[in-house]
Amino acid sequence: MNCVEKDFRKAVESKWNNRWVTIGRTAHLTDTLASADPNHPNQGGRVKCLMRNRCMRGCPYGGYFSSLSSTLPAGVATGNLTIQTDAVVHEVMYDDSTGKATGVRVIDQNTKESTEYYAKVIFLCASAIASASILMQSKSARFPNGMGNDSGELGHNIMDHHLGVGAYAQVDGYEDKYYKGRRANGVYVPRFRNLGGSSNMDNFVRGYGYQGGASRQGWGRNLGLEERVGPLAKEAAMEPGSWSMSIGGFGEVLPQHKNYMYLDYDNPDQWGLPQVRFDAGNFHDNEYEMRKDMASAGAEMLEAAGFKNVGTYDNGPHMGLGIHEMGTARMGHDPKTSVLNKWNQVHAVKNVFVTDGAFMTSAACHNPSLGYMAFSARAANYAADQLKKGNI
Amino acid sequence: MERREALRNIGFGSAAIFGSSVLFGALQGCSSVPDINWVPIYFSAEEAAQLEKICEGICPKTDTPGALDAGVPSHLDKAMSATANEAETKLMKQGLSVFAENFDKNQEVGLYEATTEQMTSVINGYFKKYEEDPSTLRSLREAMREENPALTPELQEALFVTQVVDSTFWSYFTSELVGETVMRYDPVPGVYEGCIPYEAGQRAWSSL
Repeated sequence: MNCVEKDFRKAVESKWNNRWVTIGRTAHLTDTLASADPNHPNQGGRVKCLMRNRCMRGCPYGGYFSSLSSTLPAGVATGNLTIQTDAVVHEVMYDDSTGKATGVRVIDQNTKESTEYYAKVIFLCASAIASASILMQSKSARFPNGMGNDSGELGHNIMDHHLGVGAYAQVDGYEDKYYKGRRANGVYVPRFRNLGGSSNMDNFVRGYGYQGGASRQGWGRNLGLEERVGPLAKEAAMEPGSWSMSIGGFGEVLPQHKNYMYLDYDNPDQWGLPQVRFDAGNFHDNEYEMRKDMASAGAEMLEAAGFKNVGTYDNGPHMGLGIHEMGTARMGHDPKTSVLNKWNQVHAVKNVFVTDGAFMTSAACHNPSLGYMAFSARAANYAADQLKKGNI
Repeated sequence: MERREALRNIGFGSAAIFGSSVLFGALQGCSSVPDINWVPIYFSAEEAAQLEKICEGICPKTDTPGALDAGVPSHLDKAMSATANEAETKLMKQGLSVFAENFDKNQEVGLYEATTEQMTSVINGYFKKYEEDPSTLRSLREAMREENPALTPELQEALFVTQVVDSTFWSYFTSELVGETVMRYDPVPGVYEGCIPYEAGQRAWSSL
């Protein structure tokens, strides 16, 4: 954290006993994996974070987690992995006599050739929308509305995180302070609402976290000069500006059946497959009430730190803007109201698992990928166990 | 809501920067070789010549490089050709044309004959006017919320002036020349040090 963020932390943590300010966590290595276990099958793929701030490009150095640098090389190292590229999976095939899936139908994206692959167990992990789309296209006499869709929930309950709301402030002073280098993240304020006791809110359930940071303004700032362009403006823009800080909320979206996707067979794509359409822009009052608090609680923390000209913003929630789409094949105990069971397994087709965000029942408020990965590992372990026991 | 519209709605307070980052982010820092004698692909030869005058007026050469040294006009030409859609192109070109027309009409010298100082002063004049009467930029903001904004010549010009200033600074500061030789540049930035001393007058870290 930089000096302004550290002072912000001090102010917030001394005023509230349930609010913490910490540096954000990302899935980057702070040390090499190799030293931990000399027999680890994935020795070569990754190095420790080089602080180049290239996480968003999937990290070309392998310091930040990506399947390309981590899990796929580990899979290849087992000798049991075949990667089929350019393969557009569009249907899971079903055998009514066994009640199981038999494999997948695939179109080669270049040659448009169709191929069938057969398997004992099938994992769909194509991201929430695509996995649901594949299941919806997997129609049979048993599943006229898409595989595993006895509940009618497949493709419904689309969620995301709602964001674009928070607070900002100018920070006086610190003119003799600066920073250098790169970091993989900003600061994070973990959820502090509706965790019991005095943290419970009357006007909304669940909660949100903040991401943010303080920095000196760059050349794009309002220079505050009478001359907006020209030599003076240019030279002024070459120096760092004053400090400012902002924190933006990431809130939990609750599921609702009417947020859904459907297949448009009338307008097929270049592979002759139906395109996905959405009618998923609805939010509950809960999200709107939460947003008010996301703005005002953010402002009160910046004020507590003594920052100036504190302001709030709320640009409205937009489903999809958080690019954390999820919920399209939700899990649950009751097959009448859910698509997957607690092992990410399709209720009615035991050898099909869905391990991306489709299984989520609510959105939580944190970045979801590591959670999905944990569920995937758990589901894979379960599937292997069930396969050994002859149950699937 | 269309994604595009949603993106447009993100914090209009920072719309200028956001607009130019969306527009030019894809080509950030592509103007590797300062390229003054260039063949425009997006602008006409006439528009390109006008743009050169305007960009240099915004970021003139002093004891540090100017917009022309940094290859800003040709970079903007490439960036616009790669990213602007038909509607944006129309707005950009209309705005430039209104600006050029007004310049020739209202100044003692024609746009092509104007000195860099004259151009700087004319552009600063626009901002002074916008500051004194905020209704122009307010109307522009309102109008730009529409999917296909219909702008009066005054608003076309205001859009052009604000965009060309933002874009020129963007292109200038992300150019290889300025990013690596003018600003503080560390090719291997290394671990984040959050609290180090700063002495007045030191340049900011390069955006590269």
